[in-house]
Amino acid sequence: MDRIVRVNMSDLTTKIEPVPDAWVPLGGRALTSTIIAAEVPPACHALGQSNKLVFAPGLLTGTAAANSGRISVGAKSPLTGGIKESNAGGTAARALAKLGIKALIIEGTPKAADKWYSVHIAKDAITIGEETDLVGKGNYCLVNQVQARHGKPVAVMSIGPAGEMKMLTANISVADPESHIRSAGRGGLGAVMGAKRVKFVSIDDTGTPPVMPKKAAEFKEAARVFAQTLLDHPVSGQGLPTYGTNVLVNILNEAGGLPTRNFTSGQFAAHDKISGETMHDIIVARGGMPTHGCHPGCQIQCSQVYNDKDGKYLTSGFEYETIWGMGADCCIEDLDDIATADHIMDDIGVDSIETAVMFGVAMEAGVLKFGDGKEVCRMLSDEIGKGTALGRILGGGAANVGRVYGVTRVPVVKNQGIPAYDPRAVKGIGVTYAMSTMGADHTSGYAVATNILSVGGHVDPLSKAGQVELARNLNIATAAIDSTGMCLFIAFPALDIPACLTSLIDMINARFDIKLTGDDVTALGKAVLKTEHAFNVAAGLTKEHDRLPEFFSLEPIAPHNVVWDFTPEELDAYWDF
Amino acid sequence: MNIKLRLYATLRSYLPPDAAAGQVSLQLPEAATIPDALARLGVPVALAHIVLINNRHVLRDDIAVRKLGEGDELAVFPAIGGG
Repeated sequence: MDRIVRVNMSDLTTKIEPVPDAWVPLGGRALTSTIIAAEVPPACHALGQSNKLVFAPGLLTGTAAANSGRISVGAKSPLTGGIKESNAGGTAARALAKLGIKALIIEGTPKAADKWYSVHIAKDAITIGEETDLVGKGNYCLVNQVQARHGKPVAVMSIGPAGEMKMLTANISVADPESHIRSAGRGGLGAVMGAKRVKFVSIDDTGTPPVMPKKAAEFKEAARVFAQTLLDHPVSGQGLPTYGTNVLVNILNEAGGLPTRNFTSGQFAAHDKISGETMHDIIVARGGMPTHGCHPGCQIQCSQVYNDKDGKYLTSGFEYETIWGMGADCCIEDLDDIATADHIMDDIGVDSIETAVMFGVAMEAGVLKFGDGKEVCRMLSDEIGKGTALGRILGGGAANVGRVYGVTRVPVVKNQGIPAYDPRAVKGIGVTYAMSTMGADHTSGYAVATNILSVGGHVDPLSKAGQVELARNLNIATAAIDSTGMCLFIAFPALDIPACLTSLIDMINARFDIKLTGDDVTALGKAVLKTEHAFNVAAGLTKEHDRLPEFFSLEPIAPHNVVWDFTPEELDAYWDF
Repeated sequence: MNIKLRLYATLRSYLPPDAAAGQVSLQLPEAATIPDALARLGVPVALAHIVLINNRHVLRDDIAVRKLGEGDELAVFPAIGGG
């Protein structure tokens, strides 16, 4: 029997509630956004007592469905000022689902502002404990120590020092099957957890069976078909497992959409030094793992383990957006420096996209030199990680650094850093950046698939034609996928193989013994976006916030010498559904 | 005519050992097509999932027939993804 768990940090109590009827058909992002919209005053301070932090596994999490182990984390974002859902792999989603917890809601703030707490969830008890030993510790150490305390690999969701200091770059870390770090990265959710004085949540699912679908035979058949489509599609079946996401460096460079030197060019001369092909060869030569899954049941296995020159673990989940940001955008050519930065960012608990974009702005401001990877690593450890005055400025993210240093080329939307695809040369993703309820977020509607990767057809990345419709449809579909607990990369087969989506719906129907149609799933995606948009409007985010920064319209980018040229009216048509 | 051909990801296995950064220069007859260039290295056209000439995408239906010009830079990828 599913339930809702509330942890009240104001009076340090816990409560288990039945799931309200309206929430029964929801999961993941649909549930976190519905709860935030229903229970959080949109105008509240994101770091104050009225905000809530919601963790929700997806509709299919805990079942045998491939790639269904994502955890959605929701709150009002202290970075964007709007609603936020950020999702991650790791083991927490599956553990919560097996315990029958449809959502974990952390609310209130403790009266004692000098104390830290942890939350432990097991089959028979939910406890809030005062925490002293692990305060100030990084995520790698924390995960190891928490699992050592329990004598088993319990699921862990935690914040590093950045979250404790309520920095806007702070993320929430989720331990993966090897006790390494995955991240609910975007939007400063680690700062919300820090404001609630919760250092970590641990989850022990010992003694719980897998989630059993109501119609087991139908589920099994649909899960088989679904898994086969993941294998059959060349991207999810071959491309992603072989090279991971960093294979994108070279295609974006060829297409002229690889933002370089704080978004002043679309190509990086040293692209091959940081490319997925080069990274693959380094990983193999050093005895790392070129293929790895971020959560139990992951079939795509796009993650990897990257070792240092001595063959010792350096980082994992080493993603394209991080490597682009520290590489092309900050002009760092040494992949080992970038990997070291990735490790430190995971450990101190900051979003690697926001932080990399921030460093690009800081380099333009002259705080440090473009290409200085060693100084980036020092600043991460000694300034941001230790909360010095400079570290607090840098830890406030790209928009904050731009304001402090008077930089006009600041690539953000709703204060959130623009990721690894230049919107002038990849116009579909530019529409997503502008219009997403999440701020600049490529994962909300990955138009790169159709603009650049020839998945789901092809829409010319340099033309405005068809981009608003493309971005709208992808944002709607993504909102629905984010509600299932599925990895977004199932979208590659879903865009090309009809059986992928039908078998996904068949699995949901068999899981709950319901009869959803494709139209129902589309309606769910639309409803999620409308709910989030209404929250944002009530929080004070206007149409004028649905725009890219001015410099994209003023500065043509090489090699195509194109600018951002959408009119406000063209962008606002996004919401015509 | 002379062109440059760059192969990426798994297609790099078709490159000669001395190809730097995945690139080779090819001398082709006038009016040569993308398949003609790929044939020089034995790359099956069916593996050419994403093709760009001079940083612009070639539509899937045009890959088999598109003619190359002097100085073209041809980039060829298998199916790849990320995000």
